[in-house]
Amino acid sequence: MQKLKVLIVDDEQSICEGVAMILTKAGYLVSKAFSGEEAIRLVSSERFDLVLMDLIMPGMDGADACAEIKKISPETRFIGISGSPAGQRVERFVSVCGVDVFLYKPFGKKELLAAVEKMLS
Amino acid sequence: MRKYGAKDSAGIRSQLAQRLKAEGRLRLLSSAVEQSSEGMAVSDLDGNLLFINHAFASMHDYGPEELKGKNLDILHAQGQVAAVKEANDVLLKYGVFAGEVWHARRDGTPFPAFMHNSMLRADDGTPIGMIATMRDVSDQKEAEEKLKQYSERLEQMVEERTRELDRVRADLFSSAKLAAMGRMGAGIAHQLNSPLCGGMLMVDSLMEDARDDPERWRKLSTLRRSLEGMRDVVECMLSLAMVGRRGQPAFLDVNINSMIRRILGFVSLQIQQERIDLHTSFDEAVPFIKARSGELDQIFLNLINNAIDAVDEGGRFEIATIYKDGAIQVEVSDNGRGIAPENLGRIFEPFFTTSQGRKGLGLGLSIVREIVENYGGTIEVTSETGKGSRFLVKIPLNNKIL
Repeated sequence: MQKLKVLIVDDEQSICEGVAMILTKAGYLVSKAFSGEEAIRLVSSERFDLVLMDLIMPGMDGADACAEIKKISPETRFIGISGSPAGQRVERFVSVCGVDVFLYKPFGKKELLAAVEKMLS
Repeated sequence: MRKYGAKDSAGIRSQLAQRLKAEGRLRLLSSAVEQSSEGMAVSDLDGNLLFINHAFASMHDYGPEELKGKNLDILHAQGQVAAVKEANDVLLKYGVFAGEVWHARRDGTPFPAFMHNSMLRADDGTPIGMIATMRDVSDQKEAEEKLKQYSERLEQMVEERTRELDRVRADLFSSAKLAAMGRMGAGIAHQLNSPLCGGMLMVDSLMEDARDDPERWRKLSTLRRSLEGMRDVVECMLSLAMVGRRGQPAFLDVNINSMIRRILGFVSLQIQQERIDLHTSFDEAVPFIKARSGELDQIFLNLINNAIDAVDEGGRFEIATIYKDGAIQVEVSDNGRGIAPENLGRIFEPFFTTSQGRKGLGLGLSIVREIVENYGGTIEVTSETGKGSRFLVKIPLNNKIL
């Protein structure tokens, strides 16, 4: 069976590394991007099943990046990464991506795997 | 027979006129004294009354004739022996006394009298008696008393208002302080959240690798717990910023008993490890209460964590819920260190902590109080050093937060 491809987008390098370590061990193919712009470049050349997107980043906003990615790759699914369960960015992410699955910082392995499995099942 | 001359008769007329005039003056003086509103009396040196005017007699509820020949003593109120003696001593020494002495009416009712006494002397200066003038100063006294009471009440009112103002000012100050710290805390917390998250993910991943290496696994678990401690601090700072920001999280019907059971489950490992003797008592009649998610949990998580921190290994910690007088009451008590009396008044202040960097920021109880008060509730604390502490939280079911 082909491995599912996941892209983690966060300006915090340690989050990208940590997510990659855990998901790789869990059997996914993981790529990392440290900004919305970088994520769009990656999506243009490669198809991802799932994108984990930090909503607050310098430069391009997480929800805007998701909207661009959706245009390029409509089947890609999304999980939002946020510091809090409320706020405009959360609302915007839900309306752009049509999903309501979030990881709230700081999260650990358990939360991460549960969210990913929920989105890809 | 000697005939009166015109001159003689004129002299007699003039003498008579003088006599009449003198008598008239005496009568006038006498009636003036009689009718004066000031009480007047003359006594001999032993105090036997020789003359009493109408006012003097009637102030004591007697007629003037009744008192004639009586001794002054019968007119003094009980317990005035010393005062009267002192007045007499002054009179003998200086020839005059002015001051207050309590007199009594016929039925024994005492009244304050202002006396002005002087010595009555013969032409050669020998003292032969005493002249007393007196005024009944009951009304004046009463007015003075009323004035005193009024001014005391006024003082009390001013004091109360001042206290109220101080309280309002303190509240304003503390909520402004809290709000400012909340904003600052939220900023810091958001900054810390990401690296903290990265750290937790990496440690989790490394722990997975270390499953067969107990020593490494143990070290990583310690690191994981430290990161969780950081997470708690960050959460605390964020929730401080949330408090008072109304209408954000949704309202839920909360069962306090299950909430507390959940929290106890959350800390059960620690309770077990430290062999803490936990006693619970849940009043199953505690009704559901409307609350914002994450708010009431904060109260009890903080109080429970504090209790666990306060007891030594093997200590005892109790938690009880009661539904009483329309309010949910939760009592959290421990037999731990207790709080020193000088700190008891400060434990609800933000950043007040005695744990010297060991744990937390000293924000827990300030948040607890803020939330409890937002729900229109109260929190009481009693504590004794070395014996333990007891916190009682009361949250009314019909609270103002709705």
